[in-house]
Amino acid sequence: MANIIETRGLTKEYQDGDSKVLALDNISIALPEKENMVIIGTSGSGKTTLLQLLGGLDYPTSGEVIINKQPINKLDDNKLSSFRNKTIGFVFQFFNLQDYLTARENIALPLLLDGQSQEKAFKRAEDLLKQINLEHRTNHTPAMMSGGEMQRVAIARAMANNPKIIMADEPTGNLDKTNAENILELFDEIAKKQGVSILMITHDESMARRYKNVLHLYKGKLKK
Amino acid sequence: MKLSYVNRINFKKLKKYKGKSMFLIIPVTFLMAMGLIVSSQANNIMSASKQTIFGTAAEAGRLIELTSAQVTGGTQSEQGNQSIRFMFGGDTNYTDSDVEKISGIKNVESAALTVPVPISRIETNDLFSGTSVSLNNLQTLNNQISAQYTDQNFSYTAGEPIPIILNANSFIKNYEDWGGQDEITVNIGGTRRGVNPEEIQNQAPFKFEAISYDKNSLIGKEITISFGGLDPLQTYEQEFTGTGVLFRKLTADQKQANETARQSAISQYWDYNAINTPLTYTFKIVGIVESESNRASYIPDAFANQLMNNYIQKQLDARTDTEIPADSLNSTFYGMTYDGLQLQSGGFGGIGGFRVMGGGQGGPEISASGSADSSSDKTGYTIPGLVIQTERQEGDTDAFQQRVFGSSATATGVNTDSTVFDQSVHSSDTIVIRINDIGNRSQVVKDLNSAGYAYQDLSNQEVFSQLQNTLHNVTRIVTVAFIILSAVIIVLTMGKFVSESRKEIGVFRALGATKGDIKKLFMSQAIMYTLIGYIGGAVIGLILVLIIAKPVQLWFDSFIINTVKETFAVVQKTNAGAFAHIDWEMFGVYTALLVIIAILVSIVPAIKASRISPVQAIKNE
Repeated sequence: MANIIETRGLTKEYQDGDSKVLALDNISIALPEKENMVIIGTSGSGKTTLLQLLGGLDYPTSGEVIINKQPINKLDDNKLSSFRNKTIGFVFQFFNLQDYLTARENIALPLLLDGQSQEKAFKRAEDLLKQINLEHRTNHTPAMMSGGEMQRVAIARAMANNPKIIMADEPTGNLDKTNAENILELFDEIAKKQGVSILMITHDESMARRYKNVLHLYKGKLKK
Repeated sequence: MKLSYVNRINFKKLKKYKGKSMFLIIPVTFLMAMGLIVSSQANNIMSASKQTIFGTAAEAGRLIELTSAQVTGGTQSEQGNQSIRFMFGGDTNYTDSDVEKISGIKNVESAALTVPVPISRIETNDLFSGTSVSLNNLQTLNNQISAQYTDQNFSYTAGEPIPIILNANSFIKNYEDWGGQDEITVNIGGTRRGVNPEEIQNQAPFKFEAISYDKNSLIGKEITISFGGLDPLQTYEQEFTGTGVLFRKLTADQKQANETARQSAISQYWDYNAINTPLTYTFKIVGIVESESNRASYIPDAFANQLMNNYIQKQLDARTDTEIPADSLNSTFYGMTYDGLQLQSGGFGGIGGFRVMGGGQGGPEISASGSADSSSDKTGYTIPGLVIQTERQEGDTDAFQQRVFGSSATATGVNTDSTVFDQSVHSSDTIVIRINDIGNRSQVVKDLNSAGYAYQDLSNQEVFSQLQNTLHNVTRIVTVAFIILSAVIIVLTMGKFVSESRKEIGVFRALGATKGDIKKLFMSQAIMYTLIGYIGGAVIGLILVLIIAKPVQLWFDSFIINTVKETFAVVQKTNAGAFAHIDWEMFGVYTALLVIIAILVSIVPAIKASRISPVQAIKNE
């Protein structure tokens, strides 16, 4: 079976003042299609950097990132933007919803960025709101919602363009236990029903137990 | 992303962050309102000062009267009455080629000759009761340059009273005062310094005095003016003595004999009554020239051709079948002369004898030119409308002498073409020049002089130019400030918006926004907020212009009273309405500037925004 995510010798260096910081050092991983993975590591382990590279938010210093059979580190900025738009759905720790937009508009945003009509985009957003049981929040802005609701809207936004992978950065880090559990269940459901791969980064060891594929990162290196 | 949705997003942002948006909107509103108020009021003050301080002077300041005429002699009378001065026509005749040359000078809008109308007897009895006034120096004036002498309509419309600008120097009463005697001797050679005009004036029985007049009651008045008719017969005879002239009253028999002699001489060739009846036209006075150097009255040039045509045609119609012997032309019968190029008036030499010309060429003149004629004991008659064809005199001819004494060239016959005035080469000692803007006056004067036309600008338009420049500068400074400030405001506030939106930009980029989308997002924001500020500023500015119209008017009136009233006699009151005008031109300029600036300047923060990395969406703190 083909890999949905694959890296070869992935290395990322940052310039920090006069010295160079090696954030990721020769990471080679592979995740088969329709499987989920969690990357675990402490602060400064390089897990966020890895997510940035896998999600096409940044270019590696060296090495290759192959997502859905496509080496994305060779794409130019416009193609990479389009790649992010269509292949990846991002979920963030602090939800990152636009506070001036309603739930429907936030969810429709990736479709609108893709140049789709507002009508089509809103229709898709309404369907997703139904799926996550937040129809009553259609015209509400984030300020009117609870943290759990906001994160569900954010997940719906990540789902809007039918991506292959959802990349979540500490998605429960800002939620209470019940809400966190709901979110994780929602991810499981999405993965099962829609065949989407979930890639999650966390520092929470307990979460890692839910997933078959777990990567431990420590100081930019993989820990077996 | 579609532009329509980009704008929608920015509109939603504006609604959410009203306070923050105001950092851009309010300064733009303020600038627009200020720009509108300052430019409009500068413009209003400009036009108000044109009306109130300068009146027609500003318009007249656009005109230059280039003349070679010179004034000599005579002193201003103590009583403040008009003085009698000796006026000699200019020694240069300008022609159409000069007009062409001057028209080519930068900022000259038009130039035209004021051509003398060569009719020797032009009189009206309607100006002052009981007094006939001669308008001997009548000239044509182009409608475009009539503002030099009148602020009223100077166009000629057939069937309506013809506009005329009278010269106050013509308002002279002629009369005889023999002091109860029948003979008076005038000593001409009695003074060492030659002819003293005032002395002759005092001794001679022919008196002339200026008539006092009220300009305002003359303007608009309709008068009948007669052109032509035979000269009145002399009521005296004169004899040259060694040191002067002896004037002797004619007896009734002598006068009758002269009349009979003239009638029989003229009747051979013309219907006497017809030739002795002048043409008359009704005129409307539209201006009075009060000048020391200008002695001309003006009629529209469009009418002058018609007048001259009728004047000559009348003479032709009065002719009998008898041919006029060529040797009687310029010896018995005088008239205008035409040498194939120029049509000239007969001057004053043709009458024979010593004669006081009331209001002659440029005012009263004493001409002692006729001694040759009187000694030959031959009487001459001026025939109105007669055009004597002469040989062309080539070479250096004295324009002044020709104008005063007529052509001395050999007469070859009578010209029978009534359109000869229209066809002749026009010449004049005066060209009136119209400048496109009073501000260019000094440049035009300079260029005139370097083109060889000596002109000394005595008109004090400096004050006006200064005020105009000041107001132009104010508008210019405000416009420049407007450009700089609006650019700075847009760059700074948009720059701030971009820095505050790093996370948002990162998220947009993570969701698939391209650099182009981000640029669009921020340029749209800058333009939208600027336009909202613009609309607000325009509305507030328009309202404020109306509100402050009254205070500005009060300030303006007191400013006028305190500063310029002493310099300028004519001060009219303004009304608030004059300060309620909007300078739509600058309104348009500011609108265009703001749109251009918003587009150009917002590129900078937009590019900065597009460079923000998508990693900002997920960043380790």
